Amino acid sequence: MKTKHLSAIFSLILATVLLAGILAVACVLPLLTESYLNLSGRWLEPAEHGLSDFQKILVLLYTILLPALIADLALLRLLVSARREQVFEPRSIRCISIISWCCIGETALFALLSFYFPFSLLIAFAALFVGLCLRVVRHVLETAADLKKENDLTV
Amino acid sequence: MIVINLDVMMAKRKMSLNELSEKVGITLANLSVLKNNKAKAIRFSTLDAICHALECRVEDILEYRKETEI
Repeated sequence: MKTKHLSAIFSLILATVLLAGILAVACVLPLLTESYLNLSGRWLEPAEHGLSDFQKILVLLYTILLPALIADLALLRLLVSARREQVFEPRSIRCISIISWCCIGETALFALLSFYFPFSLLIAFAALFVGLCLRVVRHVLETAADLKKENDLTV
Repeated sequence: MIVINLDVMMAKRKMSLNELSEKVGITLANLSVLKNNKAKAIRFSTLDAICHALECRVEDILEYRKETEI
């Protein structure tokens, strides 16, 4: 029981650290991107009309951060529900569903980013795998919630 | 559908929900679920304990009614 409690606290701390990390990255993203591009020695197309490649990458990276932020907030809500022993509630199932959709959204965004950075395709596949796994977990959790409801209403 | 006539039998025996819950050995919340027809299932052991406490038969508590009758 104590291990379970400690594990829940540890997960909660990790999710909070991740949230802080996402916010911190959002603040210094232009600087990080510029430094990475300079270090890797990549040559990007300058803007002739419209957005330059650097700006396009930056927009894409900020768009990637948004689902990550939403998924992390949903994860925090899920962990809080788990601590209150309300895992089999519709609220928790909704959180899992949100996280899975965010992963699928990340798949599309990382696939787009792979036009600039081909290794992003690997992250896209990983996100797709996690998203699909979470969809399975959601279905299992839905069945478990139905069973729990029936059990709760058995006198 | 199955209708629970627990309140009728309790009134006949002049027994309160608290008293019945103590005699049957189930929580007040569960007994309320049963009395208000919200239960999805009832265990034989619970039914046995209720019949024993109220000194009645199963059909005094459970009744089948056609949907149109309700």
